[in-house]
Amino acid sequence: MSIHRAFWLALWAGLWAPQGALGAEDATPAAAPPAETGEAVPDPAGRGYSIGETGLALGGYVTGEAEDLEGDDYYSELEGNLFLFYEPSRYFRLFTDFEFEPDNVALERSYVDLTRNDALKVRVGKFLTPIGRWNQAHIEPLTWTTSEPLMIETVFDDTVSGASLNGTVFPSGGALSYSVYASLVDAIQVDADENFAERSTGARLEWASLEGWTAGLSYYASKPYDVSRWHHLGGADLLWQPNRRFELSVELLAGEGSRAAGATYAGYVQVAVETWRSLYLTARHEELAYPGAPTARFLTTGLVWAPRPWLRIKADYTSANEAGALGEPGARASLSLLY
Amino acid sequence: MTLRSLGVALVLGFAAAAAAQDGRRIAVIVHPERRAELSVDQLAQIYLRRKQYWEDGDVIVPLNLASGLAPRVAFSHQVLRQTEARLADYWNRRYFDGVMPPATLASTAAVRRYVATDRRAIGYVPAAEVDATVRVILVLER
Repeated sequence: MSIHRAFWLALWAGLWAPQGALGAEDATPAAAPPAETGEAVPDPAGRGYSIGETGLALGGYVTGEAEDLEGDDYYSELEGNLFLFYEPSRYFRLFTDFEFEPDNVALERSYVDLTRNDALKVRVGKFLTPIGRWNQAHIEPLTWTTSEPLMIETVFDDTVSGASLNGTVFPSGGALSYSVYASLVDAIQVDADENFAERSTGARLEWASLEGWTAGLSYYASKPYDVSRWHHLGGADLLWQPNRRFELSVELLAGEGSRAAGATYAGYVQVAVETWRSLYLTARHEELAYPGAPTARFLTTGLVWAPRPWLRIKADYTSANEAGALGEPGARASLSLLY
Repeated sequence: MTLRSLGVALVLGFAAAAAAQDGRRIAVIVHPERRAELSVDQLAQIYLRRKQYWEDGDVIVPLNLASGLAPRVAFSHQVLRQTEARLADYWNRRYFDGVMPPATLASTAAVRRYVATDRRAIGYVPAAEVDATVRVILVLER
């Protein structure tokens, strides 16, 4: 069976299966049900599959996408990611994320978490650069648009091969998390055109309120391969979810990223509003001022249908000003599911 | 009605009202040996799996009830302050980072039985269902 056919069959079966059987209404399902009771609720769809009592689990997501961009031919692609979880004890966790494209398999992330307590965790390996929110959860089943903001793609390297110290403390009303990280080795399996920093380091501080909003500050320093001095980039981000039908997110970056010398200013504002039964209207405005270039502006508007927690179907259109060609304006659609 | 029968009726009425009140309250329970004290905010962080360790270094095993059960709906609303749909988005994001939601058990009796056997566990049940096998560390009024 081809991967395309398997994908559509799985989707069809998922959509028509009884909701209880898939646990589609079960928003907080079991991670490791205590089997001793014999009354654990089975894992629902979209949260991976545990392999017995081994501590090993598999999961991931699949995305089919189509693009009709201005000045380009129609293009479609099917890609998938495989997650591998291994948690032999609560103090040690291995996580690996492989990306499968039609002609390539890439190691997206692979790291080990060693945890002492909530306030101190060491992460070693290849992990997403902790800048803002989007870069840390940028996959199709989690985002509201088919394309990511250009600033996420073009200002800094999206992964770090190294180590980080992370932790969370719990003042009243929320959680305060920190992350301090540094690259220690050359980038692990990253395309040359995606890895500009020979070395990088940075920090992030995030406040997650129990009242539905999250705010973060990020700092990223990088030394590109062809430059002797370090670049410094700062960022701020906000997520506001006052109720289940509305979400506002904002990210701002200023400084020098790993991919260009000179001051870069970038930011986006995005809203998602539920209009009717899991059908969301989305809009994102982005501005990006690269060194020596006019400010590029983009507006992406579209619809997202999320009939199940593990499924998102999206269609949107991106328009741009004359300086925004790099953002590839045009129409896009995607269908993605977690498994 | 004699004074005596009026007194009996009053006592029974108060008892019935207390029982109904107990049915509406949710008790957060732990193993009898667990000596932790928790606020509602800390409880929320445990069930969001941001807080994963007890003060003595043991891991926390939070137990949820199956979706749709009345205590779970009340707990999500009162403690997590989120709807089930919003929580689904939250857990999708955590799943991408390799963090899974709390284990889910099918009934309040199963939660109570498990908590009674595992000193790392924490769960919630209607207050009326609490017995001596577990310790109540917080009571939520519905």
